[in-house]
Amino acid sequence: MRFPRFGELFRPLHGWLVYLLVLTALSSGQAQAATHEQNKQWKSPSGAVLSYGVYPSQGRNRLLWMGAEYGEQRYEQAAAKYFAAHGVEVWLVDSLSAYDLPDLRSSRDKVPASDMQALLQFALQDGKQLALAGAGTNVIPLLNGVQLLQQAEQAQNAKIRSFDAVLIYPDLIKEVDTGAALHFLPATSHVRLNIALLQPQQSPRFWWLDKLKDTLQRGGSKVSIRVLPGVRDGFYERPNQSQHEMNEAKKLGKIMFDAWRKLVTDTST
Amino acid sequence: MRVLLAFTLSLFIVFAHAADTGLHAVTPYPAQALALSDMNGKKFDLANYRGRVVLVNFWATYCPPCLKEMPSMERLQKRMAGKPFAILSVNVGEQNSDVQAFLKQVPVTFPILMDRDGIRLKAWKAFALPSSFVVDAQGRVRYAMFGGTEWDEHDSMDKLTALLPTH
Repeated sequence: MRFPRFGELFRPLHGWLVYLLVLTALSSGQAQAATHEQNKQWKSPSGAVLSYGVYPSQGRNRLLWMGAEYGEQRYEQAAAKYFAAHGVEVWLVDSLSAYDLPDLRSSRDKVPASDMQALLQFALQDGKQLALAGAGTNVIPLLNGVQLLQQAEQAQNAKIRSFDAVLIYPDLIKEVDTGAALHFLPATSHVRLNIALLQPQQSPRFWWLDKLKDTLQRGGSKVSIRVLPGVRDGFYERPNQSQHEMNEAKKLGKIMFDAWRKLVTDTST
Repeated sequence: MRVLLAFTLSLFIVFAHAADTGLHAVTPYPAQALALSDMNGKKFDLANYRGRVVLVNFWATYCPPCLKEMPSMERLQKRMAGKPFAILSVNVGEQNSDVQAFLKQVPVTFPILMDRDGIRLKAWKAFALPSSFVVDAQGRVRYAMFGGTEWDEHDSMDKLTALLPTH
């Protein structure tokens, strides 16, 4: 008779050990996420209750981010954590579900601008420096709110607040008249923002960036453009991501943070 | 699955949202110049297509509706064989390798012109992909649309056939 070797002795336990390790890793990950993200709700003037995730940070900056154009938040949440880890608190807002609006393009313009204006004011209340973010059509309610806020300030002869804004593949098109004209939504040329515009190269919008930039500048916005090569609009939300899109999606936080930091640096110099 | 459905639906809505959905008549205007080479360097010039109805289609391999309508364009070409009709498809901003990979999956026989720097797309004011223009035998744009369609279905076929010169 020989004594079993160490490996042989523990072989029956291998499955259980692996299971326990995975379970531990998962539960610690959940615990970590719970400490990083806080789910909050805010009641808007219209009565709609907006849900938002707070990724707290002690810094003086806050990013108000209209999230998840297509309901896929995985990469946005990771990006929000990246911002928080670098000293910028993030409020990741779900602007659609509060209004029982379907996840359609046309829904974005139905989010009451007065609610978005109030949300901006709420996010400004504690004196943090507010920056904005949004992707695709989710930029629409954000800009509608900014337009209303800035118009109100103008009407009161108050100082008009400008915001840094990171806009990813913003879809601000109102109407396409093929062969003739491209029309943008009114807010496009009625807000004053300091914009970092991140546009995937594999998109028809890439070819008309100059037109969007002109329209934004008409309202007094400053626009700096960064083209993202090899990816399509919605690259971090697509169900059919290419490998390159997946890799870029994992870098979303860094891409956005660098764009925001450059805005801040350029403004202060 | 929910994400996939939402994304697909939203893409549809992107195209359904704007004003000029469907192949619609426009006030006739002279077509912009379109002189480009295909992947092999062969030159094509729309000006040489006078006397024929031409479907000019701007597209890219990353655009799902573009890919969906391509087989119907191939069928359209076959159904219009022998008639004064041609298709000039214009790939926007991509490399030969991108288009070649696509053609392995969806082989087409009509010319694919390469608008590598998007200059023709801009001149033609194709704001979305795909964008299509129907040019009559006199070189005037008669129909336009953005978004994909089934080109060999009645509506499109009837409109194209009505433009064909009678002799």
